[in-house]
Amino acid sequence: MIEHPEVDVVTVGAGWTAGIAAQQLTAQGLTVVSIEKGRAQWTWPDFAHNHDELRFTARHELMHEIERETWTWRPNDRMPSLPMRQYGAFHPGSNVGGAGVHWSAVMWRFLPTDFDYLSHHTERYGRDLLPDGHSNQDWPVGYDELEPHFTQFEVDTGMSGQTGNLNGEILEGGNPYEGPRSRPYPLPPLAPTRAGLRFAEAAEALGYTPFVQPSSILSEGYTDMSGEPRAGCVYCGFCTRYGCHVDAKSSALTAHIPMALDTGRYEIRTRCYVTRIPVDDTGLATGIEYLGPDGREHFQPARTVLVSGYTMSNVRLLMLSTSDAHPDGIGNARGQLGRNATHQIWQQPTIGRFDGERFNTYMGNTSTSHAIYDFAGDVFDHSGLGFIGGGQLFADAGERLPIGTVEGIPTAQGEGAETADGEPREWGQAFKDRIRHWDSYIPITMQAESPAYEFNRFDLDPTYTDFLGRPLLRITFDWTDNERRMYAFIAERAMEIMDRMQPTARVDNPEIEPYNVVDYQSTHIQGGAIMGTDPSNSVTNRYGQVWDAPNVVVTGAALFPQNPGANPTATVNALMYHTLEAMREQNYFRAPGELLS
Amino acid sequence: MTGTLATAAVVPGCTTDRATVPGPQEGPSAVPQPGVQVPEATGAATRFLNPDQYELLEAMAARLIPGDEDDPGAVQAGVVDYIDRLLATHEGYPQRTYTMGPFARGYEGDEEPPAEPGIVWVPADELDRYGWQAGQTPRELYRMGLARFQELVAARHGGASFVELSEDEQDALIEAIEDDEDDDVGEIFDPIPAGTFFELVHKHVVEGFLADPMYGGNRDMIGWRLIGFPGAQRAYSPEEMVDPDFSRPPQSLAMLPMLHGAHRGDTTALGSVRRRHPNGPID
Repeated sequence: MIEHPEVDVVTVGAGWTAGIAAQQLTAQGLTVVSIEKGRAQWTWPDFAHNHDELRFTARHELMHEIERETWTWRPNDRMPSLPMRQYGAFHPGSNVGGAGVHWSAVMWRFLPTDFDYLSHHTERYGRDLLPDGHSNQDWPVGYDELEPHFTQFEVDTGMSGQTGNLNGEILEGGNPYEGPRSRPYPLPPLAPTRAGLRFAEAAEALGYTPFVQPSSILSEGYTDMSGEPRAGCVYCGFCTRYGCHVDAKSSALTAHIPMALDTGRYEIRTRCYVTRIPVDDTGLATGIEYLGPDGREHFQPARTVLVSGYTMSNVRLLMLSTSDAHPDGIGNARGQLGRNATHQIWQQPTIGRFDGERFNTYMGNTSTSHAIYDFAGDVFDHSGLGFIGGGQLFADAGERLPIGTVEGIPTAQGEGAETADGEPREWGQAFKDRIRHWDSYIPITMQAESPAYEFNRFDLDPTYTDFLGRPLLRITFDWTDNERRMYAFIAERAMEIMDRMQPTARVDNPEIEPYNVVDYQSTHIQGGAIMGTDPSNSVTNRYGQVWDAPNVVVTGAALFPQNPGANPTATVNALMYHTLEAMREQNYFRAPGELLS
Repeated sequence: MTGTLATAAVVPGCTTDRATVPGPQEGPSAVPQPGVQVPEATGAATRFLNPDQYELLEAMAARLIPGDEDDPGAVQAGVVDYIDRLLATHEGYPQRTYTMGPFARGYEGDEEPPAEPGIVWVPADELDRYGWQAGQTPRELYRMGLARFQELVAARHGGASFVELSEDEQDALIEAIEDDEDDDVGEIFDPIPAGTFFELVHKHVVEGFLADPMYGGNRDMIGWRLIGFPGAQRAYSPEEMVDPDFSRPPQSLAMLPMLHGAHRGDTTALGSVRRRHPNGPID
């Protein structure tokens, strides 16, 4: 075991929250090391010449190395778990900058009612509307407390959008349902797409409020916290699963990590695979053990460990870090670790084909399309609907690349053969004629929430292992009737909008697809090391500190008690800012211990 | 040597352990340079497929995306050359794949079969939810699958080979392996699932038709022209985003101009980047 000199903080990976922590802590004179499993990468030169769908989308160039370590899944404990052998439902990232490099950068703040979730729903509807077996709970931190941190993060990195609620005043053109903002978005929204405008027109006619989605992609040149000007989006269409070649898409690489490196007090070690968090006799962490690129075991001592990898990597690392002080893993003394695993609904209730029109869907990105929030969260009355939860609808027609999108184009009556399952055959002359309409179809996509249940959880798989022979994380997860009803209700709204858009041909999916690990379902897996008010309902406190080991700080979406139907990064990063502020104000590093609330 | 198409062609699927990031002075390596020609058809010079396999696969591809000189399809786009090159250079997984056992096998009915080492039993109608579970490499699936497909053809058509059949007969055979429901298909293909073999061929044909031409398929950007995709482009304007009549001739990544300056030695554009990364690449 090679032992390195002690530092103040060691982080798991060099992604969004690790980069934020490194920037703020090194600015205070502290030393930080990140242990990153992937390789180094920078906007220049690595993203300069990457407009290649095969390499980045089909082959998942920037993703976690699934061949070394994957996840197993089963719908429930009566079914066997099998490894996800190839990417499907979710795509965690690898390399410096993490998933923040390849993300879509759609940037929602969660709604105020997403935080006081249980008490809000109980007060408004009583306990009867809450689904059987649910384990939803309130966050230990609310929207108002996070608001300054949302704002600070948006200003630090740059962000585009149309303000919908400024200090309680509803402004035209934005999302009227968003929580009150203390200042407007730093930049105007991204340019809209033709498909988005078509969707918006129909949605508006039905009385809804469409708007261009908020984004961490710069719509204009912007000088971020690093003092360096960055270019606005050039709408090239190689966005999600790609690094941005003009640096318009914010990530930890665009400001935080370079600033931390500038201080000389930050180091990133790439090609290093974290294996364990060792602890002392009292159960406090002493640092991180990892496998180096030299094939040898290393130990990086640190006063505080930031568990800042992807949601499931964090949960698994805590589970694998067993010791006399933590026999079932760090944070698992009361069986809380692995609880409240959630995933989002990301499906297309309806797809319309508009023959003779071209929408330039290969331009732009997800954020350039209009969305509606009229059926998100609890902004609509759920009385008598038989479910809780909601979702957003948007025209899914930017950054379309061909290999992954030529299948599923709506077929008109009598256009070609069908499979034994009644699906159109995606080959033959009919297929070839259909894909001539490749730029003429618009899906309406639903991103919807995932309440927490006692039976949906993470644990260690009894059979399958990683390349070092250690158990993989097992996901036990399936939809329930609550989500089936939620989907059906919102899907009907989507189909009404599509009616208005008057497509030539269409495919409707009025019922939710059974949960599976094949179809992409967003990388927004959450929970497993949730934050709460006390050790009986959570793994960590409101700052992500593990109850029994307060110098182990969990970051990211593993902390979320349940899963709102929106992209999580803004909240992930606001929580990091929130924790770092408390550390600063309470002189945490003088004697690392539990922060006061 | 960097950036020739011979180098680029080795890239598909080979996504691990690339060279570390080059220093600013070196310019990007392992990316194609502008002005490089799109590869010519390789014709008979195959590297993985033998002539019989090549002929059979090409006949299948001709049915998956049909075409002729006036309205070119998979064959004219060179998809079989694309597949041949892909399989010659690596195991051919459509993406990075976890390959450790045990492997799943489906069963019909309510009764789970007795435990067997190396097998995880899953109700057959649930297997789809778990995605790719094949225990064979794509190379093995091609070798075995093509041989068994020819066996199926011979069994159903009195010893004939696939290329001798009519288009309707050919389509019926491809449908039979896609659906994988007939007894003779299951028996002949065992132990590989015919549906998995079909899916793999289908995926590779679509890739070879629509991936960047620098990988050896999509010749003359036939696939992109068919669907109206301009390929690798640096930028579109907000006005172009909403222009109903927009079109631009497609281009390969190999034709995309360098981002900063015309010459590899020109580092003036790197000044600001250097300021931001005083420590340089850290890998």
